[in-house]
Amino acid sequence: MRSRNTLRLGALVFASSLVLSGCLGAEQGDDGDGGQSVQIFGGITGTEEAKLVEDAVAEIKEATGVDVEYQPSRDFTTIIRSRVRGGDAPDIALYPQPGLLLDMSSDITPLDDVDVGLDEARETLIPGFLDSATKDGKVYGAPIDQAPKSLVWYPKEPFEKAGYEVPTTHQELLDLTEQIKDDGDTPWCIGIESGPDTGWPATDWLEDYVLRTAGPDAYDQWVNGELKFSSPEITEAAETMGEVMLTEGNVQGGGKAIVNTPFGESSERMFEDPPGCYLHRQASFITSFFPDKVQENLDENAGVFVLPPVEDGFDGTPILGSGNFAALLNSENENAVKVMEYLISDKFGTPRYEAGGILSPHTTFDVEKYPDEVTKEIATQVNEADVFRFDGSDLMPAEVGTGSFWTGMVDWIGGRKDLDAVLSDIDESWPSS
Amino acid sequence: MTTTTPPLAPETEPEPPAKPSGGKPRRGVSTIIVRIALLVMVLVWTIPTIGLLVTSGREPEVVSNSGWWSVLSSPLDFTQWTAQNYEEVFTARGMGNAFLNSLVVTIPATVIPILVAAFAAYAFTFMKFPGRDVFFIVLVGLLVVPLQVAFIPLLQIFGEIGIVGTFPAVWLAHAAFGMPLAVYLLRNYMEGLPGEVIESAKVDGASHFVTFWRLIIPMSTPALAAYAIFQFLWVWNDLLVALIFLGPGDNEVVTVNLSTLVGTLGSDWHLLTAAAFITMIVPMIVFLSLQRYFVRGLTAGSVKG
Repeated sequence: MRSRNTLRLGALVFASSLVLSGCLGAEQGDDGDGGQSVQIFGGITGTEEAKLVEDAVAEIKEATGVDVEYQPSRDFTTIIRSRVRGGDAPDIALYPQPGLLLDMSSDITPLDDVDVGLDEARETLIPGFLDSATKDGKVYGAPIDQAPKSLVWYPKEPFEKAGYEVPTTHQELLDLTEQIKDDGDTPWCIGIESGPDTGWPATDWLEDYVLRTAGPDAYDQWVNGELKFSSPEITEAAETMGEVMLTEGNVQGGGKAIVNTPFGESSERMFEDPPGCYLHRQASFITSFFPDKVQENLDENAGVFVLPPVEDGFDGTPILGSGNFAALLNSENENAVKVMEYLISDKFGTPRYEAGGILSPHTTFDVEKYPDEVTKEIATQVNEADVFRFDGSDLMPAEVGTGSFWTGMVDWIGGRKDLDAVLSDIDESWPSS
Repeated sequence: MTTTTPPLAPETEPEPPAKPSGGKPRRGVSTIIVRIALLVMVLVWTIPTIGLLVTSGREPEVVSNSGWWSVLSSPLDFTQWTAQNYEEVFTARGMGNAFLNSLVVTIPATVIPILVAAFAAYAFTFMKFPGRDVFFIVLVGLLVVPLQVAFIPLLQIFGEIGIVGTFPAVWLAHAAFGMPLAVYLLRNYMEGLPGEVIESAKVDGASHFVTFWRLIIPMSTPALAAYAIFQFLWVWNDLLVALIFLGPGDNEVVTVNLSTLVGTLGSDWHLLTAAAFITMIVPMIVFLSLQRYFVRGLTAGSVKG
């Protein structure tokens, strides 16, 4: 009896699974009336974030009539390679790192070769952005968003109550740091722990100081491997950074604590009562890590200023930033070209920018659309900045940019190695070719 | 889980009672030792899971400030518990769809290898054909081929046929990689079945097909169930194969969907605790319901009508 039932159960399960799969196993690709649909594959994940990208993508559908689907994956950087090699490339990919994008340039259609309005985009984009995705004179991708990184956050009310003022030079920043210490408080909150990516916030610090001490030209050489880490320019930048980060009493627990504190959590202490610190240098997206009650009223709770320039260094205010680059992988799909044109124009992305934390890479984007004064302020500062440079570690070869540069910073800040040893270690890891 | 306890009890009993009177206390002591050892093992094994469960019911900000064990002092203080994490996971984008997809992937990916492997195991056990042992050795040898090395070639083949990103791609991948173990397990099990039964069936004029469906399959239920559990759990929990052959999008499975819950920079990680429990539900149901077959099949002997 039992055997009969087992058999029947098995058959039932099998049959029903076939029926189910028949209903649900819809082929991706062709789509009835609107022509070919377009797949966009990207690394922007998270319940909120991915939803916002989908909302933004839905606008494309409204504007162009093309069916667009956004597919997020946390493992974008690995999956994109296997998908391309397996002949299952998405139509458009959103690269978080221009370095990876240029690595795969043989699979990507240069934007100069298709009609996507590159010239218009070039005019509205923040100058310098497209350069990060250019190789041998061809542009392989264009930014769809940006997160400025040269920002220092402070807890507004306690900061003003204590009579502190926003510094406009590096010396003033150091003076402010001393003043906070004299008042018996901790000036800085810094954390560079980030799971397998631990160290990246420190690379941003160094990049910021290279831009400020040695200037953008030296920065470009450094990123391209023409200027060594152990050169006097970079060493000086690192020392300037170390003065802020590693001076006794500037950060609670010193270098060891910096290395072990998750970067997101480190910002939370700023909003304790009394504040665990008064200064925190991090990109615009850090607001999503602030405690909920702070986020609810960002303008009243948080203030922000651009990391001030260094005297005797570069004359001007540089901004360091990052962003996602859209690249066209399947130019045979006409609709993908259409979607691409929309993606890289200043029309794209409004739902995302209205949510805050992420900014449009176009100077023509209406600043008033940002949700709060803080974001508007950041956008204005970025638009007025003298120089924009892309996050250098994302442009360097992967061995360095997502490897020895990260671990080197951890070794130095954690006190396991001295600065000179770390810098020459990183130089050695630079791939020779 | 409770069904495993009865068979344990008789096992501890047959201890040679050296002295009829002195035997009892000694047996009591050893039972206690066994019980304590079991208790310790169960505790050690489940503590991480309990920690996960507790964490999934706490506010994210509280989680980053204190360990989960801190609730033990006041577990009845209901203000510290929240269902917010579960709510967010359940209402996450595409979650319902992903759950269905997972079933659509897992059930055929479990049934196909079992069915095919049962046929193969029958042939390897009861049918005589030239090169039988060589075939069997080669097949079992495939056990050592790691899944990862086959990704790119498989992707290329699937790309040619045009099934990348569709369900058959994952079914085939899982079925193929589950096959060597399935054939090996089932063949070894069938080897142990009483040969007289099959012989007498043959004498009665039963064809291979009838013998297989009427005799071998019912008698192999325990092995089939055991393998079904393994394969089901493996496929259900698999992220890698699903990510590569199915990817994110309309056809994404639960594991792929869950991995996108965490933000680009690691925000919202607290949702994973709740998500872990939600994905556990189905494997738990499968295990607990199949476990009946598992245990009964093992203990009941197979030559009963």
